[in-house]
Formats: sequence, structure tokens, C-alpha cells
Amino acid sequence: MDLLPQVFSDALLLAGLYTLMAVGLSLGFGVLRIINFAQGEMIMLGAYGAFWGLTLLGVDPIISLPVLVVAGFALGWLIFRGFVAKVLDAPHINQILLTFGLALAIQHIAIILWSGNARSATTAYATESAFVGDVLVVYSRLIAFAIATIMVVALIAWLRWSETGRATRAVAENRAAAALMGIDVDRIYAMSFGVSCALSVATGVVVSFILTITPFMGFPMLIKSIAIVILGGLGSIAGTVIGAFVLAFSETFVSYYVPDGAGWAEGIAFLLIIGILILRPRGILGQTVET
Amino acid sequence: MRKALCLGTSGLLIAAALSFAAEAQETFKIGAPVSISGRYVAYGVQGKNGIEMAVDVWKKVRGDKVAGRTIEVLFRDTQSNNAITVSLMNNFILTDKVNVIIGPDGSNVAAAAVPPWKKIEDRPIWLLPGGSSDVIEKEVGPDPYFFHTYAWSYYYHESNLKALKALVGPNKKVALIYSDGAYGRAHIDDARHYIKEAGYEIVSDELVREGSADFNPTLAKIRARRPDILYVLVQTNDAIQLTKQIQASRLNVPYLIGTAQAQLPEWQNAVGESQSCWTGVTTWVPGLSYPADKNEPKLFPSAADWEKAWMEKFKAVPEFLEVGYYASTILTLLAVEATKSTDREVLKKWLEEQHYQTPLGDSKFIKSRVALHQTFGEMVVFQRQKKADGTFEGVLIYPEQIATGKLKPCTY
Repeated sequence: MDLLPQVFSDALLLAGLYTLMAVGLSLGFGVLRIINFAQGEMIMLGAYGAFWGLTLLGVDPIISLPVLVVAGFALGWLIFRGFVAKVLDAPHINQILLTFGLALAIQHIAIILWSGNARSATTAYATESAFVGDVLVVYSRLIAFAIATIMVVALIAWLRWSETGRATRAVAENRAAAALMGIDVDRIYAMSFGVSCALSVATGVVVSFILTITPFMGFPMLIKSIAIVILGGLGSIAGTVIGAFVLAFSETFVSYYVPDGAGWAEGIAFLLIIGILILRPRGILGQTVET
Repeated sequence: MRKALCLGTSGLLIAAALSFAAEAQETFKIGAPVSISGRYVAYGVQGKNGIEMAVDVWKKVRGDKVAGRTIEVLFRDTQSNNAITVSLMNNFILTDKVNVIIGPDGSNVAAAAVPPWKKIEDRPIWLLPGGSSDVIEKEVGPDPYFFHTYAWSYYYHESNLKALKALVGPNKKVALIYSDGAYGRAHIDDARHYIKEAGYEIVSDELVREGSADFNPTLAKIRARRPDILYVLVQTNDAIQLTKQIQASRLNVPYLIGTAQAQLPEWQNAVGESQSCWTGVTTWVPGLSYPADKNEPKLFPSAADWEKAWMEKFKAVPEFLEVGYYASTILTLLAVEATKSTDREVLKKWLEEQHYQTPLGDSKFIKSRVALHQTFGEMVVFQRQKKADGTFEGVLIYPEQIATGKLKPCTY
């Protein structure tokens, strides 16, 4: 059997998931110039939200997605106003320590509230699939891909065509000039941080029926997201999409075609990222970063 | 006058010191490192419950003391953390001066507990009712004061392959999946050994990354090899995702074989319907038919009576570590009661010679590959099967003399 169509299908579906996972971080950095180390914990909170919605209320994760995204936005807004806004002009190390501390606090609260037990949302479509020719398509991954595509397209549309989105891009390009043009920079910052958290919560909802949910699930996702964002170019949404595709395709190809490849896939994919960054230090579509 | 006052005060202080010393001597201290927070919390809670139940039963049957000594159990939380476990072991031995250590639970923290315990010359007796990794066994070596009261990892594969040979017959093709973490690495060599010894052919031997986001490439390769048996060696977090992906992947493999995860409520709850048809191997499942001990029927009742008593107390079905910790604690108390001593040489000799019928089976210690004292390693194989009411149960399928049902091939 020719595995190539299956390889492309698996890689494409994984790339969708990776894009959604990293795009929030990319937006947050592009506008605020802060790497939010609590982004992984937002994914975790989204996954728990979807899990408890299904377990306690019987609400399917796809149905609870809009509510959780709004809740994620509100939480992000509050975190920005309560914490992040205080360190916007502080040295990078302070910003890193703050968001890292927030991540640890959220993780420990999750352990206290829900214990360290592993969970997963057991929807009917989580284990259903169909053969399209020789290619097996797993419904849960297809749904995740569809949601990721809708969310990312909506984000790009918002940034490109809405007034607030254009203001956000203006702030990302030049904060001082945007302020002189009458844009409320603080409001844009809070909104961008809220949107980036909402996107991470959406990722959590999507992975709730695919991956295992634990209070510790956020950190490995954060690391992968940072790698994707750096590969694509810090602050570039289009670059993040490309970075996610490069990582997903390289991981999947290695898993299929290298002996014991599934064990080595991440390692080899990260070597590839290092290679690309040596050739192009700004990443694929990177912009110059103001410091 | 001042001289008399000084003498009086000194006398009082000496008397108080002596009384404290006497009290200290009259206490039997059990050090219990348990993971009651962090990622092994499910194991740690089982360990704590098991010890508490044992002490409660002892007090009801024999009174509040053991050989005239007050029973004191020092529960300390490992926080599922290796560094904290090392510190706890040092404190138990050097500061608390415990007479016996029972625990900790998971293989990782148990392995971390070995070096601090080993390095101290006058270390106390150590009973380990959890921790299956044979790395622990190799680290401890043939130590006279170490008593392992659970199965080693290779027992899992020996039992699984005995069951498969008896129930599905010879000449089968096996696909193996193992993780690159401590669990997979600890199990893979023994799994391969017993699979080959059973005369089975390994047609696929797949390494997967712990915490991987996608197991589909591995499963697609396995589907192409059309194995009869899928043998999975990953820890619980990965097992949850993998189990769901296996069902979605339509592998069409008749026998899905796991090790420890299938007995864990954590895995069962997280995978839902996907648990159907998976087999697991364990030292304990509800419904075992071990009889009561003839000499100590109140401390070691039949497995059925013990299970009933447990359910009355905790309103839940007992888990495998709960019964292991119970039996280990009762054995320790019996040792002190019988010998009227807390001296480790005396306790060691008694433990080596004792022989009871417990709710977890025969308690006689035998030598394992490396360790000098091993018991409760007898394993049973079960399959998760759906009942008429839509819930799942673990049906005992091997050994055949205690089986409560038959192995059914998977239909997905």
C-alpha cells in the first residue's frame, strides 16, 4: 500500500492543530512584544472547560466552544489588566518571570481543584473514522482541523478588515505612531492579549477529545508553540501558519519513513528548525523585533 | 535551700527525659512515603487508604497497641517528586527513626527512594507494595532488609504470554508499541523475551515519543502488517490517547494487550467505550476467590470478605495498591507482635519465615531475579468487557481455574 496519501492527510490535520496552538502566542508577541509563558495553561484551562462541560452538563465540546472562547477572552483581558500591564515597560526578564509565575500558579490551582488525574472528553466522534480510498480520516482530527481553519481565517479577517484589527496591526508595527494617530494603545493591548488567550482556550477545547488532559499538558504545547512562532518569524501570523506546517509535515514524514521514527520525529523536526534558523535567523517571514 | 532546689529540678528533668525515652521505645513507628499530591496522587491515596484500613482492623482485632507499643504511622507526601522522596527517606531514617518503611507508590519515586535508604548502614526494614520497575530491583540488589510486596515488571509479561498461549494458541503475529520514557524502556526487553519464548513472531516493533500529539503514523504502519496481537507498553497518559486512536484507526487486531493501565479507573474513565476488549494484568481484581487464613482469619479474611469490608468503609471497590498496602502493613504488625521486638534482624527473620493466606494470595517470600524477598507477585489476566447494563467490568480470563469468563476477540 502506498503510504504517501496517508502521510499527507495526517500531516495536514496535525498542521491545523499546530497552527491554532501557536497563533495565539504569535499574536500576543506581535502586538505586545511579550512571550506569554502562561499560554500553555490557557490551553489546559480550555481543555478542562470542555471536559467538565461534557462530563457535568452533557454539553459537547464543539457546542461549548463559543462560550469558552468568550470566557478565555475575558480571562485574558483580566490577566492583562491585573498583571501584564504592570510590566509592559519593564525589562524582559520581569515579563518572563511574571508570565512564568502565572503559568505555575494556574497549573497548581488546577491540581488542587481537579487533581493530577489524566482525563479525556469521550465524545462519540472522538473514536470514529472513515476510509477515503486508502486514506483513513479520523473524524476528531478532521473536526479539529476545521475549527482551527475557521478560527485562523476569522483572526486574519479581523486583523485585515475590521477597524480594531487594523488598529491592532498599527500598534504592532509602531506603538508610538499608533498612539499619535489617536489609537487607544492600552485597549488594543488588552484586546490582543484577550484574543490570544481565547485562541489558546479554543485549542484546549479542540484537543480535549483528542489528547490526554492533565494540569501538566500546557508546558510541552508551549514549547512547541514557541518553536513554531520562532520558525515562522516572531510576530508574523502567516509565518506561524507556515511554521506549523513545516513542523507537522517534518514530524509526520520522519514518523513514517525513519526507523523508530515516531520516537525521533520531534527531535529531527527541531533539528530542521535549527537548520532553517541558521540560514534565516529571523525565521521564515520574520520581522525585525524592537527591543 | 538553693542546692536542694537545683537537685530537685535536675531530678525532675532526668525523670522527664527518661519517661520520654521510655515512651519513644514503646512506640512502633511506620514511615509511609505516599504521593498524595502531584501526578501519582491516585497511587498515593490508595497507599494511604491501605495502611489506614490495616491499622483500623488491627486495633479492632488486637487492640490499640502492638506488642505493648503504640502504633504511629508517619504519612509524608512525596508530592510525586523524586527529590522530595529522597529527603523524606533521609528524614524517616535519621530524624524520625522509624522502625519500618512502607512505600512509596509509583516506580519513579520508589526508584528515587533506593539510594538514600541504601547508603545508611543501620537502615530499617523496607516493604515496597508498589513500584514494579526492575530498575528498582537492580538498584536494591540482594539486600537482606528489602521486601518487595508487588510484582516486578517482568511478571507482567510472563503472565500475559502464558495467558495468550493458553487462550489464543501458538503461531501468532505480534505488534509492539513502547514509549521512549522510563516505563516503555523498563518493560520492552522482557516483553520481547517472553513473546519470542512463546513462539510468537514480532512483525512490528514501534518506538513512540512520550507525550506525542499523534500516534497515527505508528498505527498506520501496524495496520499494514496485519498482526494478531497488539502489545502496548506506555504509561497511563499516553495510553489514554493511544487507546482512543487505536479504536479510531480501525486496526482490526483481534487481541489488544496492555499491562497496568487497564486496571486503573483513571484510564477506564478517560477512554470510555474504547476500553472494550483490552486485557490487563494485575495482582488484584475484585472477585478473586482466595480463602481466609486459618490462623488469622480476622486480619486476613477471604478476598471476598475483605472486599466487602473495604466497600463498607470506603464505599468504593478496592484498588490493587490498597490491598497490597493493607497486606504489607498487617504483616509488619504481626511481625512485631509475634517477636515482641522492633529489631530489624528479628523482624527480617520472622518475615522470611512467615506464611499466610491473605486477600492478595500467598504471603511467603521467595527470591526473584535479584531481590532476596519477593511476594504477592502472582498475577491474573483480565479483559474489560461490556455488561448488559452498558457498564464495563474486568472479567478474569487467566489462570483458567479462577477465570470468571472467556477472552473475547475485539471487533474494531
